[in-house]
Amino acid sequence: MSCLFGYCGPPAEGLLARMAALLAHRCPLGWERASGANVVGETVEIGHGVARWNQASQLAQRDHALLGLGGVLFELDETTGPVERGIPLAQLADRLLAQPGQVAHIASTLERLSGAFVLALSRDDSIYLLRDPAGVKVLYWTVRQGRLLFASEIKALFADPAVPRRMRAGALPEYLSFSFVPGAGTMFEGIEELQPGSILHFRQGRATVRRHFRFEALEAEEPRLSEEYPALVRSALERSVAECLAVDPQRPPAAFLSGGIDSSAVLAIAARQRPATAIPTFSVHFGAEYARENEFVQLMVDRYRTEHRWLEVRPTDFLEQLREIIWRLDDPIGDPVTVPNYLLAQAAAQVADVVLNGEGGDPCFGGPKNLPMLLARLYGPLPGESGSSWLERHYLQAFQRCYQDLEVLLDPALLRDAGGDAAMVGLLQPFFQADRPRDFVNKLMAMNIRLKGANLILVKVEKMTAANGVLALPPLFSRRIVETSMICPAGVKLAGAVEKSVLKQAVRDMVPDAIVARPKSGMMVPVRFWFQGDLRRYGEKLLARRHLQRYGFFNPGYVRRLLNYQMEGVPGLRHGLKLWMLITFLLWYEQMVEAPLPLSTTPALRDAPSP
Amino acid sequence: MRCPECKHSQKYREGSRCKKCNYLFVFRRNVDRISDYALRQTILRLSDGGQQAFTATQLALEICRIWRKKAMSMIAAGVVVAVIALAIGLFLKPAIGMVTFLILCPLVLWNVTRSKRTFPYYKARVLVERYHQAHPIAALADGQAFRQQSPTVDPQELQYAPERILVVEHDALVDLLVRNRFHLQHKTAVVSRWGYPARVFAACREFLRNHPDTPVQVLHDASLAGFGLTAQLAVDPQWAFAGPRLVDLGIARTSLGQGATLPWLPPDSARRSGRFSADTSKMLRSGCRVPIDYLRPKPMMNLLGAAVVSGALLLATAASVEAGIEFGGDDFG
Repeated sequence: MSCLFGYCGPPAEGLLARMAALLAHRCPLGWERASGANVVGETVEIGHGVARWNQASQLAQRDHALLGLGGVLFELDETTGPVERGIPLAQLADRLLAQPGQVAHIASTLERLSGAFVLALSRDDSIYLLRDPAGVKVLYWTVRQGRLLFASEIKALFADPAVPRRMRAGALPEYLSFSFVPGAGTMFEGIEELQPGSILHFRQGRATVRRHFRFEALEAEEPRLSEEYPALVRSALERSVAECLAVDPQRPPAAFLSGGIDSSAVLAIAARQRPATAIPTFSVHFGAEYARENEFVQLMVDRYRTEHRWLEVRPTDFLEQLREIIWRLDDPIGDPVTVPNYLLAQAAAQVADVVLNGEGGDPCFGGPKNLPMLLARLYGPLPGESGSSWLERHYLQAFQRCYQDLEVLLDPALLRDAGGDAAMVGLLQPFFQADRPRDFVNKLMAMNIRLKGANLILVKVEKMTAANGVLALPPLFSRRIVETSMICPAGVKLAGAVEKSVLKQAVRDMVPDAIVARPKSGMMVPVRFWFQGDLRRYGEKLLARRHLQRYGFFNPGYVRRLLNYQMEGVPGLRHGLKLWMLITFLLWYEQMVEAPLPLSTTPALRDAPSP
Repeated sequence: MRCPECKHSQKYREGSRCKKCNYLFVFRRNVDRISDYALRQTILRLSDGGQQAFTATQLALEICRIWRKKAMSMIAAGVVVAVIALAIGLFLKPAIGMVTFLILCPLVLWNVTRSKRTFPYYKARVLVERYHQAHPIAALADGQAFRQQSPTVDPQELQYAPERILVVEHDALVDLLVRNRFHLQHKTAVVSRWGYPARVFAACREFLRNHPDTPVQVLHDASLAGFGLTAQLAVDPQWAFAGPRLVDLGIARTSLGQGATLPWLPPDSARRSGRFSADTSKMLRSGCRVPIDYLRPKPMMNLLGAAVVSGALLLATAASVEAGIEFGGDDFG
């Protein structure tokens, strides 16, 4: 629930309603709209899917000016003092719509905003789109025939028949290498994802995007005493949690709990800030036969007396929903964690409107690729590796997805059209070659924050929770935490071989030692075993030779090798994960590219906001 | 002779260069018992289509395995033909069946005694060396990959530490593990007992100086020298910095008795005169060893991966270590 969509340009009859229809799953409480014309006569229409946790209206209008907000805003520039409920929309509207201002003034006001939001502002002859600094909320955009279209999900952009549903040539290799599409590109030609902390300015038919939140520049030149950093992180995290709790002061939020340090730290601080409330917590496991982290979760549940609920996830329970889940995922994400995310959100929606999670701890304070990449740099290029791009290739391989399989998995013509290996390397080169951050570990973390964090983790959670009507807030992935992370020297984040060292020290007194001391585990979805059991028939049917030949993207012989779990000729193994990625892609392609769009059900329109 | 480059076939008398692509043939099948084409196929299989590096030991053992498998299957085929002939004959006319069987039996027996069922390891090793000299094998891990590397370490690279340091007995094993990305998957710095690669060895000193808790695991062949390696390093001045942290992760001596089919390799100095016995102590005393790289690259990576994490290495068959644990998954908090 809750989404933002709209357009600016030549008028289009019924376009906004069609966009709402395509986002019906995010508007079960209906939708609201504001429309008008800007000073140069272009039509501007903004729609918003209504959620339970929204303010009375998330749209505002003053004369020619319009403002739409998806998500929540935190206080402006407040770093001390008590945290109160986020900024009311009217207050923001007064600042942005009523006062006369130059482009620079508007931009500087927008740049100071913090929270989990996307925003559309139309005033004078321009429209501005903004995504929050960390990228908790998502916004896609395209320009067709002089019209800017934007929406929280790509599918809504296809409400305009001028926007073609054509897959971008380079998208499939990117998806297979990362399990998501990195950067501003999406799976579709001409459609872009507004990157975190960026402002899009559309004027006279032209769009320009500027990234204003350049946290890389905050890398500390003169380090403080190392004892100061845990306190700095603790303070930032407490404030982040307080901001999240202030979104709905009446109703306690739920929390996802994995048994790791990140979600445990968030829960511990939330429980201390709401001592009178039993926080509902949710965890998943995959059955007694698979590895699980129950004992770590139980330690937190016992210590903070939460109302805990376990969810057992088995393929038989979600197979019927899988197609729908992929539809709601919008741009494919080939990470099997999407399904547990969706089911957790479904369960949490029964008791809460806001849910806290531990996302962000890895990109901001750790990262499973840091040590391997440091070791790769120590050894240098291996025999046969290019002297100029070996580091980028190591990084791509470190994802442990299908990068090494591309040549045997994909149709050669498709790979050639996509630009081959050079295009993949080219995606990463700007990050490695950037002046800031200077420290290699910080460089890796910045990449993690901007690629895996903003294009995978946050997008996946946002889509899967919004689809169930809850607002997911990651206190460890806020603007404040990203900034604090960059201020901390690399050595306090990765201390020896211990990742997230500074975070662990910051919450040591609140989280049981067993959780602080345990190594990073991640959520282990047993796809390998699923594809040899409950998912086997499903996988074989969807990945049948005839089916694959119809699409022409994949080498059916190689896919058969994956299905048969052949060890030879499959680099890096991980058959289950690769099969999951292929299935996700095919289900996505069928619905998003081939099938007619479901435009029939338009959600109920609520009263328009008063000017 | 079939050319491994262009697949062109030609006769021996046509010369040792391919008429079509000028490839230089190294082997003569009737003399060397293997062809260039067969060796190239073996390399392709062992390297998993060129993706895995391997040691000369692994390639030589693979040649021996293939040869034995081929010889055994020929014998089995002879026996099957004889039995089928007997069965058919008995069904049609017992006398004919018996006569056919009696004729085929000596033929099968002759074939069994004639065919060489094993390919000696030392010969396979020589073939590998000959081929590598004529046509360098790109996937061969030979302990040369980091020889040209500068030994100087960037101080920024020393602010962290790997999860462990793995010391191996031979330089070639460093190349094998690093080229197959073992060090990245297991966050491990791999160096040889001889301090190869020099830069990584220098970094390891600093790692241990700054992070003394970093474990140092020692991996060795099952041999008298291997069993003594940890103790030897503990008193080696070059390794003084690692002294008390050294943990023996090599093949356990007690596990040698369990493996009847272990590939005992004779010492290089006595390749031809290696005497084999069921008594493992006797084998060790005569200089024989069971190499740590007797497994193919992929199973070996899996076995070592489990070993460095658990801190214990057991002899395992290739079949059992094929089943590496693999999950999808991601960060959740």
